[in-house]
Amino acid sequence: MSNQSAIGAQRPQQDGMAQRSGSCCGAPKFQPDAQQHQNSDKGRWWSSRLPYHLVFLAITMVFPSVAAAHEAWLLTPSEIEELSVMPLPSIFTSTPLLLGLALLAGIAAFAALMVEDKYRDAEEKFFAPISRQAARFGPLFIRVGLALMMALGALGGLPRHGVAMWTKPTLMVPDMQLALVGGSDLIVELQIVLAALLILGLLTRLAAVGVIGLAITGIVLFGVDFLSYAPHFIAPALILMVWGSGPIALDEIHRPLEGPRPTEAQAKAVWSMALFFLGGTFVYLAIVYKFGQPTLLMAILKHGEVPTLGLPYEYAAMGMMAVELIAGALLAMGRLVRPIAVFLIFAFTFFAVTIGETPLFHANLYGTMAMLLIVGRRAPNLEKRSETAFA
Amino acid sequence: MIRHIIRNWQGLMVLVTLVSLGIALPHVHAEEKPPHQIFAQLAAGTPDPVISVEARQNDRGGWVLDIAASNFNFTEICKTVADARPVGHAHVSTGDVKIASAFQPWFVLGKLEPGKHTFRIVLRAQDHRVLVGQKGMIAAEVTIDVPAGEEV
Repeated sequence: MSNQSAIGAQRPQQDGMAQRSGSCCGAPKFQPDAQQHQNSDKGRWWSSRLPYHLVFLAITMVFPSVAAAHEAWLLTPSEIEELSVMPLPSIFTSTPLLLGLALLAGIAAFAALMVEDKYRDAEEKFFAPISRQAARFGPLFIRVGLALMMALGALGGLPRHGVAMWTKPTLMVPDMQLALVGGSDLIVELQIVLAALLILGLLTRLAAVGVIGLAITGIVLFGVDFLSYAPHFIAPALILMVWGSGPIALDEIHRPLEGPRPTEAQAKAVWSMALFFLGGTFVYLAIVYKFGQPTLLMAILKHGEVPTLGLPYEYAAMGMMAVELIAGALLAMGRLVRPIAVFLIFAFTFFAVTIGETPLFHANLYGTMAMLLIVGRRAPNLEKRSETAFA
Repeated sequence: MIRHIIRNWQGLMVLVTLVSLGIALPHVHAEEKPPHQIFAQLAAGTPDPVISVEARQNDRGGWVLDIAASNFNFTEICKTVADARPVGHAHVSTGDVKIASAFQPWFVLGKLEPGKHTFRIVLRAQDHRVLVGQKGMIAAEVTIDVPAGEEV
């Protein structure tokens, strides 16, 4: 239950309007055009991000045929028995009702976007003191979040429900027990090494490549199930690959293997890709695990006695599905980045407390959302690392 | 208004997605099946496993559950993702608490406190999902009445 765009993401015409100046290190320094705010109001509907969005729309039309056991151990035997015979509430089978709810939700999404447009400048002004520290602290939050997940997973410190602590090493997340696959010792060691590098901020870009490699390895080892998790590790790793460790890191002292700085265009592309992975995964989870199996969600809400403000569980479940899907979709498209980051941090914490899980299960996402919260929709400046985040 | 909608085309994408789901969902859920995250539905045509369970005391005074299963094979091999086949193990629970997994057709409970104890056995696939046949979950139950005065 289980994520700020580059300026170009929301104002596509800025790609052609940004002025560039050379830097002493050879990589161009991105300096946004002062006219970009005005030009954005021309509202071109196409953008370089459109291919991502079409892919995203296509993916949402496909329902994976199987989602493997995820919470089979969370429910009690009697709850499972009840679930086996639970009829589907009519809210999930009535086309007119679903279309009406879809329309309402769509209107709410539009309204939120219009509010964002109206208060864009006010948001930037309000968060300016925090966003000035984005390049300094953002990568640190991501590094810590990723390192915690990998170290604890490798040591068996994030066991799934019913498994003793420190007994079953997993690959990044509680569900993926390494004892079930080959080469587990090597993977455990690799996770610990990568976690150490990330915490220290040493060889950060290389460690980020390692994280991406591990995530892809997870898909190979565990199959389609790992698709629920991999992008939420790949996205923050991509950000670290481009923006590096941040100033609070050993890389600042030694700068080994940092390599050439990416160009501004490359950085914007990676930022867009990271947002797409983050938001797109929430969309995937909403469709596969919530829209696809609503009675399971209801059973988990009932099991955890999650407060639903008096709403019947089916309405609460429908609301959760819609909110996760809308939030994921808008995040993937680089809209309402800060509000969604705040919302997701609240949601992870709320459900961790009510269902009785440790918040560390989402450490990678906490770190990433913290960065999105302080950065907002615009990617941190590649050059300015400890001062103003934006040129 | 049109300009606002075009500028916020992301909202249109969200609306189209939601409407598409609204149209598709009733068809997806037309055949009501148990959630496949929890349940492994055996294919139609696969003979339903049948189980029964009996309790006996061993020579040390401990209690043993003997699980008689047909059309099912016990295995201790667990997988992250398993096909819905009549292969796996059994979960032993009492009340709402799972006390163990039985990877063979027997399970040693040990000595029990005096009183009535009800144990439920439910067949599970290799990925721990509940096996579901054409008639639902495959389960059996046994109650052991331990007389007072029996040493624990």
